[in-house]
Amino acid sequence: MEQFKSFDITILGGGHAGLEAAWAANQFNLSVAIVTMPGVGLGSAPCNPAVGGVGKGQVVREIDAMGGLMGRLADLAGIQYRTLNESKGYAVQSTRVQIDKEKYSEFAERIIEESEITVIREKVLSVEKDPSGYFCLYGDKQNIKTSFLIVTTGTFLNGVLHTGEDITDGGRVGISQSPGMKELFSNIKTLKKRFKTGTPPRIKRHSIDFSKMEAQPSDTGSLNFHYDHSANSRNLKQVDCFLTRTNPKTLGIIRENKERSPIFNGQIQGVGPRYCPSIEDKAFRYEDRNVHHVFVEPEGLDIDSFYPNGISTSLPKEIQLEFLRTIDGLEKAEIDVFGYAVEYDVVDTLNMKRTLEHDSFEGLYFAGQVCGTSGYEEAGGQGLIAGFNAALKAKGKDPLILPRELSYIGVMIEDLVTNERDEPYRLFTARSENRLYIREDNSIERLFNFRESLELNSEVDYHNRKFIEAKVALENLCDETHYLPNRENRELFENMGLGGLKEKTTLTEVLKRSHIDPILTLKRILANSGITADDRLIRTVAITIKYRGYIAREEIENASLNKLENKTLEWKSLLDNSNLSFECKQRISKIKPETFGQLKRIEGIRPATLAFVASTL
Amino acid sequence: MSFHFSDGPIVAISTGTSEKSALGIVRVSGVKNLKFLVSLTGQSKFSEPESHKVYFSRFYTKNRELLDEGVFTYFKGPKSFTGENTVEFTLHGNPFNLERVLRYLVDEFGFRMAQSGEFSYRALKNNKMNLTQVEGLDLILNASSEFGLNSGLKALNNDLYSNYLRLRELILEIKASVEILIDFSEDVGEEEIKSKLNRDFSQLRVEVDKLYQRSKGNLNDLMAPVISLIGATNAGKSTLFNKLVGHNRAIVSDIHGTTRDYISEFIYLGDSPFKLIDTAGIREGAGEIEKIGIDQSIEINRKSFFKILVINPFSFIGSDLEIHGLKPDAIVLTHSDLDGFKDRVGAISVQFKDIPLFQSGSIGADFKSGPMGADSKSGPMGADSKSGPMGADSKSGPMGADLKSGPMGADSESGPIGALNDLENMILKEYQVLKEGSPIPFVRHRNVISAIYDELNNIYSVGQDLDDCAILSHHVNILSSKMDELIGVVSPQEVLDHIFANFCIGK
Repeated sequence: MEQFKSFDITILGGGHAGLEAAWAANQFNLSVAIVTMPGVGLGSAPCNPAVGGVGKGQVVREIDAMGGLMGRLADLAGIQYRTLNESKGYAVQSTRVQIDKEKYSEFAERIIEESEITVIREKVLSVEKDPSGYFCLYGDKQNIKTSFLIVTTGTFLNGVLHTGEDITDGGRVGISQSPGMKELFSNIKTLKKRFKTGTPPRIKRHSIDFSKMEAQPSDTGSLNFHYDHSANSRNLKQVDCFLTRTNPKTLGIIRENKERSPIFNGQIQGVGPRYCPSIEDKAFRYEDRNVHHVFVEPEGLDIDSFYPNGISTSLPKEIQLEFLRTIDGLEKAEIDVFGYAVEYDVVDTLNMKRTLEHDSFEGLYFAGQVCGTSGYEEAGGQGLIAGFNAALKAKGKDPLILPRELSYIGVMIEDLVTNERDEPYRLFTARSENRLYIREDNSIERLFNFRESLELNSEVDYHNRKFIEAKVALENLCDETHYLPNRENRELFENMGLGGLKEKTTLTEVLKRSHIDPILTLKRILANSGITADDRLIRTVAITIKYRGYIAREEIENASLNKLENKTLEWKSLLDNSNLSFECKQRISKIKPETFGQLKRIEGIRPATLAFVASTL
Repeated sequence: MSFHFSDGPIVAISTGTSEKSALGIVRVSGVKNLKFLVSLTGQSKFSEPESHKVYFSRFYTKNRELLDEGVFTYFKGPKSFTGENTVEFTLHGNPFNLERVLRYLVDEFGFRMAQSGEFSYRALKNNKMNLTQVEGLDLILNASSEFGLNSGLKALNNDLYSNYLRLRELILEIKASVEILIDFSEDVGEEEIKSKLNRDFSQLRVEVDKLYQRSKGNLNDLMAPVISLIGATNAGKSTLFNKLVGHNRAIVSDIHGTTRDYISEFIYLGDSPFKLIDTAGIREGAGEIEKIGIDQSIEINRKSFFKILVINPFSFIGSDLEIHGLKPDAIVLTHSDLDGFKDRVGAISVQFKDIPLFQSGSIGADFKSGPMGADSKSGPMGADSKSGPMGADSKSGPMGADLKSGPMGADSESGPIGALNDLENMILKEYQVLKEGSPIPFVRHRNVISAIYDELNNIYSVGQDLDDCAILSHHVNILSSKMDELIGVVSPQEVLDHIFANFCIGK
């Protein structure tokens, strides 16, 4: 007799996607299990030890507003905060937190342990489906029976590691691979191309001469991710990151060893991310450049290794050491773990729904790097969507779909299921058409209705409601507060550097003035009136007011376009049109666009085709 | 209006049907095979005729009754105007004959009557033309000025389109720089990107300015220039009208067929057609009905490219043009052959001292016998445009300072008075000035270009807020979507409808 444990929802993989999926699903009073490789901590950070970044910080706050885990963990484990793009406008400002990767994983373990989620530390060997659900076999006659299965196996499916000529099987250094996608899921289509990603060598702390580098202290003004952490509090001691640069010598060594680079000698076939190039990519694609930034980041308070961000490599070990030692401050560098590249299988996300459920296998979901994305935040965002949707489906409720106009998670998921992946997908703000609105500061407002629709009524819902109420109240206050052009007010304006006062002016109009800092101004004006408010509240109100006119204009400009954008179309009938180019038809049949907007975003669709389709709608 | 897009065969008469002509063309597009041609000709070899080759045949109904005889050409898709298999029949041009063949094709083979512009639409859809080319084609088919015709040809040859594509590239470059600044400034040097951005913006401004200059001139004047005659009743307008029409013998008549209470006729000056309008005479104390005519005259004058005030110096008592806010471009004094003409001119030329004067006899004083002589080569006021005989150059006064020694000038205190040849040259020259700098002939383009121009000015006026890359990118995105609109990447439905609605059936 076979034994099996039975769960409603099972997650294969305990990385950033798996954690969010489990955490989301668990909020619905269902039995949830995570099956993870023995020897790998939950929420481990095998690549750079940081959470957030441009576009990604927005995702972390979206996860938090939806009741997810990542923001909370990042705050708890944060050891250096930065606000990126600080001088480039509020909409594109993003928080990035360096994390202590050991602590991050420890907090994750502790929080999961305190929940009702079951953690099984085994390597799954096969997955079978019968009409009642999925069976995961992980040991001798030991099975999990589950109605819903969420696959978040990251780089482990058929993972192969490369360091110079050394090739080993594994999902990351020191940890074995999972069976290939084809063995686990014989009918799941994977991309023909395998993907590749890489990491730099880790450097021992004592071997680094920090005095030759530029220190980057933690920014005390950066705001925490998690709603329940006070705005600027820090859980752990804050430390510096460091900036140094490559030089002609560094790149010279790499260029001399082209034939020993697995990426350039044909040993690696997989496609790497253009947006996160290895140092070999930089050396050979930009031959006239020799100076590249290297951010030297601590991996933890008590961890002996540093992560040199910007020089991921799969060159042979001796060459890694040689080029590293040409860099200022790293002349005597000792390597803790050598850099490597990993090639892995990626599922074809064109066969998936917006809920991340597979088209042909009911109850089977995919999330994270296995879907061809890169980054912890991207993985977490997908995990959240897969977890909520599996649970909603289990409860017989409507699915949760975040629209691309309102969230980066929505942008990402639509891009994934409507566009062919030909390289690892990373989020950045340029992927959104609505950048002025989908910001870090207003994540609660953007996602409020979606979180409410889950009808969970938990702590985060209570907080969200309170926050929205306060936001509306403060916005009204700004609209209603006005300044008459009398001497007293003119002096006030002069003292605060707010410009002239010629006619009756509302506080809202003042905050919109182009030369002032709306956040600081609102903060000071409220303080003058004896009103105290949370920094995050002040921030979102000030920025909302600042951008109001632009957003209204954008809406008008996009109105006719959006009307068209959302029009549905019969993609099948386009294939019958004898004169559309073969290439266009091929892309249309692959992507199956349901709206004009989706058709428009398909790469390589000709303008004439668009004009034609537009006119038929 | 919108098309239904069954891909089935469409058919139409592609030549004009209003008058009888020797030849007429019936065109069929979108046929899968040529069975119908075999049936029509009764010859099985025409199931596979050579493409682009002219065949002679008789055409029969299925009951072997003769429909017509003529030639046909098969254009195998995609090498045809529409991109589809097309057959063009050149038949006898009697409209009844063409109609009969058309009806037979529709009834017997189930071809659909093409909607207005549908052939062009299919060409657009099948990537045979871009939107600007379609608009150019529209101009070629419908233009009533030399300028319109030529600009249409240029547009069809992609002149304007390639200009727009370059501009679009530039905007994309700018867009990319802004995105790099936002998303990847840690990877790329910020200074470098910023200076590139500044360079590209300055270039964009120059390019957009150029286009904007090209969209400013009055399009009505360019596309359908009107010359209007205005003046008191019995000033001699009709006589002048007939003289100008007689001298310039236009082949075309007014194809627009508007109802009118005025007389109009097309005349050619040089190679350009102009519409000459003789308006109702203006007089004081007119009755209600007559007043309507007068108001209309004033309106026509106001919109005219060239306004001619006609004055009979023998009955002229003063002008109330100021009241109507009209400023003539030229004045023609009639009855120049009558005794005492010169004495009368003096007072008038004082009143209109900035306006060039011309003269015309009451009867028979045609161009040849006019004081300036028809032989323009030898006349000092001749057609030699290099020397600017008519003094459009305003610095030198209406008639040009060099004309004092002209035959009219020396003995006349009132200054030189030109002949009708000179008047025509003056009109032509002004029209040529208008055409300079290749103005953009499409209202749709002009509107978008002007919106792009405004947006760019807007960007520069925002100033400090541009440090905010999100706002900068917001403006750039607007620019870029307007540019897409101009090129027709995504055309709102109305644009397409509008364009195609203007076509005659069969194109």
